[in-house]
Amino acid sequence: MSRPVSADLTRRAFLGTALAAGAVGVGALTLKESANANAPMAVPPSEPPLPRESLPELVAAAQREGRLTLIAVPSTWANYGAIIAAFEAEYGIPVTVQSPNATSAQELTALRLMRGQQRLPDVIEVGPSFARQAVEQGLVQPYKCTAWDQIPNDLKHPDGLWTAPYYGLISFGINTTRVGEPPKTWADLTRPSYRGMVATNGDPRQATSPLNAVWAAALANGGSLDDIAPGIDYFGKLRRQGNYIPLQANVGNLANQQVLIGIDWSFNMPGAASVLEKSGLKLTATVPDDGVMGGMYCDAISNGAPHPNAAKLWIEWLTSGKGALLYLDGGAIPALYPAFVDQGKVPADVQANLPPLRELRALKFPTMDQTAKATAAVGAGWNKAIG
Amino acid sequence: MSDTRRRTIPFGRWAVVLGCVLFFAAPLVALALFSFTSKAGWSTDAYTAIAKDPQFWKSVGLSLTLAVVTTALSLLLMVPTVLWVHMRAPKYRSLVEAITLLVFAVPPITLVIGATGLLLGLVPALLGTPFVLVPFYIVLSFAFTYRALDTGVKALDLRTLTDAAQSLGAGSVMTVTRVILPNLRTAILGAAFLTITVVLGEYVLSSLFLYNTLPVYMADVGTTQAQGAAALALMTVLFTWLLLIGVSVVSRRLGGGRVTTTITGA
Amino acid sequence: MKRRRLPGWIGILPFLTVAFLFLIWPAYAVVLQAFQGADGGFTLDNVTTAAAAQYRSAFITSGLLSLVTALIGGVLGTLLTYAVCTLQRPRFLKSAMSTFAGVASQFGGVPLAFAFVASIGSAGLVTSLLNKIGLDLYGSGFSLLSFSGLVIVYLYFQIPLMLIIMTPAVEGLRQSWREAAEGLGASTFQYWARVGIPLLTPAFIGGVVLLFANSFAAYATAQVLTSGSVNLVPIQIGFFVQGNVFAGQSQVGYALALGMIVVVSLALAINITLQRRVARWAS
Repeated sequence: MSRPVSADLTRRAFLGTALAAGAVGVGALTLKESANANAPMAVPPSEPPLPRESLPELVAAAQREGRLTLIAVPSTWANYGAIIAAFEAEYGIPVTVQSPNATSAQELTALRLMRGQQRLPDVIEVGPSFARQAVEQGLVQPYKCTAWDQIPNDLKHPDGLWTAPYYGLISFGINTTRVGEPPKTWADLTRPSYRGMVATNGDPRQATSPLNAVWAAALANGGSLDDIAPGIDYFGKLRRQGNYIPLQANVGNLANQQVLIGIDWSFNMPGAASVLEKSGLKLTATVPDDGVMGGMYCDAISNGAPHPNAAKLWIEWLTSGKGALLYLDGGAIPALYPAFVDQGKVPADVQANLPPLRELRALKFPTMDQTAKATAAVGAGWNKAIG
Repeated sequence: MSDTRRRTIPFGRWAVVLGCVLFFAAPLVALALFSFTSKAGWSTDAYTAIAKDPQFWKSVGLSLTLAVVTTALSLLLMVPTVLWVHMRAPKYRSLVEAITLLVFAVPPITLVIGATGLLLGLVPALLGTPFVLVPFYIVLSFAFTYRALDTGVKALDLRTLTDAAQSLGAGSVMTVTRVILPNLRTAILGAAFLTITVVLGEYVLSSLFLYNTLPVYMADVGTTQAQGAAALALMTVLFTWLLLIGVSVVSRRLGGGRVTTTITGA
Repeated sequence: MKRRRLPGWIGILPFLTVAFLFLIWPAYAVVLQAFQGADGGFTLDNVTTAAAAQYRSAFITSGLLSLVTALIGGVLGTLLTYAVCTLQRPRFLKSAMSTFAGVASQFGGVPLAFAFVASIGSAGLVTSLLNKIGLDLYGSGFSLLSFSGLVIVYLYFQIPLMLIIMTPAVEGLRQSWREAAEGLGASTFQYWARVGIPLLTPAFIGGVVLLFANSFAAYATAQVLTSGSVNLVPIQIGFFVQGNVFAGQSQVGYALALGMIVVVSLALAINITLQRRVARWAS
């Protein structure tokens, strides 16, 4: 280097500032651009429920759109495999399911990421607290289906921004080929003969099924919708006994018999049972009657959905169409269950497998605040109880 | 280079190697055995079920395409960078190396959130294609590609090579393409393979962006059929390993040895 | 022969651009969001939430796991590298091991978890073999789905990573130096103490730190294997950023990620200081 040192330093200082200014400039520009891109979209106003007479029009419009995109709908969940197949057969509209195992958070991320693209899912199905987030962020648009007035208030958003077409109950899925005396209640589960057999479908901080399993155990042990602590203690006790194992009670682990008693939503049981049947194993589902917990999932049409009429038709299918009855085969309870029973559409053996109607009518779902309180409690206390 | 003094068997080193081989082989053997089990005893059901699944082929195609594109672009970016840093701007070497190591500090799960805001603003169309994953994969493999290329370049005596080439009348471009790059063949191949293995094994980002690459497909299969997932895992490991061995053999045949010795006579 | 030369930084501009757009900016965005409230304003709430007991314990567990796997992986990996690089037979050993290391270092998530469940899970192959010769693995309290189980599983990719890192350094130990040292009357111990170890130490330290960072950030493997029962930081981040339960609290996840960035950056910084010290000591 033959240049004098001072000139070199000035040159470097100048280049450094230029680079920094450039970086700040690019940063500011991109912030502005991304702020624009991330600004919530305007949500269409809510309309009165669709009259039944307009259904054929809706079908025609949906068929013209020619396609329906769903997300995070596994085929063994609540019999969705059959529900989708029946929808396709009835209307001739092909259905694509993206990322069947995506989480609720991933569904909302998808809505943000794929805005304005053809890939944007038309309908999402998320847990209630995520539905609230979706509403707050303008990610979904309202639709009141034809059966709107008959759907219980618990299972719908007042302005139609989401509808819960079904709900399930926390139940035990027992491998009765291997387990001689299947447990019937939460109290039964603490018997030493069930050592190393019991698991939930994941971690209660990660998924709603195990969260509600803990909640149901709370109800059976002196807790309430406002107090999930007894449930956390219960599972802690089960873990120390060695009955509870930290494996995920998904279909795979039930099938290879790593988990013999899986605690999960009732609507995951039939799918698991048919897989186990292929290996010659029998899965029996029971709803423990000392702690009954109901949970729903909220369906909503995405704001800016590429196929809005197909989406609306899908909601119709799930609430009052043939899809609604197919939920029963999947262990899920359709929103209009009481009406269906009154209309004689539910066979007696199916009714026998579910808790009696008056109990279901009296079932309370947790409010958003109760859910927030419970998730905070689990977030803070689960690791200490289980780890 | 033989050690004339020691004709005894190096027990210590053999023990280490055998121990590690056992450790690495046991899970793979267990995977293999498990993938062939079913309620009827031995069967290839898991494998046939996968082969019949159209989604499997789509995922394989997607992952391989992404792997090829990522490797090509990554090499295109990193080879000139490493060469430049060694030949013209050695004082930036530690900066570049530090940046490649930065990848380990930021969890991929959060990388997406920061980037999506930016991408939505700048190139929204890219988000609609799986190729949005490519730049992230390139960044994820930075540490490996840089290290492989850096080691390769350090092993060459760049100064002597370039001086020799230039004294023979070659211009800059020809020096690079005819003299340096062929000597870097092994390092480039090494970098390429590491990038391919990174892409074929990357799960977090692909699942966050909701693209059904092979690892995401494997995870999905794992929730419903354990044997199928085991079969897939085994096939991926064996395939990637054979690929690496194959091209390492090919590179040796093509003579990726010490060409510097030929030129300098040392 | 003074041609007009382009300034040094021009050549690394493409690299810097890609690194900025897809690494540095997103990392910066994470830091920003860690201090962002739900309404968009500045807040320390997320950071204070992230300092709660269950998260502190997560950092400790993650740190411990990373330290243990980095040290064990570092030592075993170096020994393996030395063995592989110096053994003359079989001829294919070195290339087979290096190519396998390339594959194994990226092995993780579902495939790795399944492989270990199939081998040392409660119904695994190795477990049954051990039972046949009288060793009850699970009876003695071991479980794959625990901290110690994770250590073993993580070593599967940590050791190969160390091999990849240490190979150039070990190869750099020229055989001729060994022969020269022995010619001067040095014993094996003296050779290692005065020549071998000082030369290998910088690469070793760098390798261990990299292994630490690699283990700290590993998410998929722990998630699949323990589904949350071992309290690790990436898993906690996952609960907030891609879960089904904690809605609208992703900022806490970013605060946790900020913590992760700080921890790993500290490790990388320690690496640089140690390297400088060692360089001075070795020269």
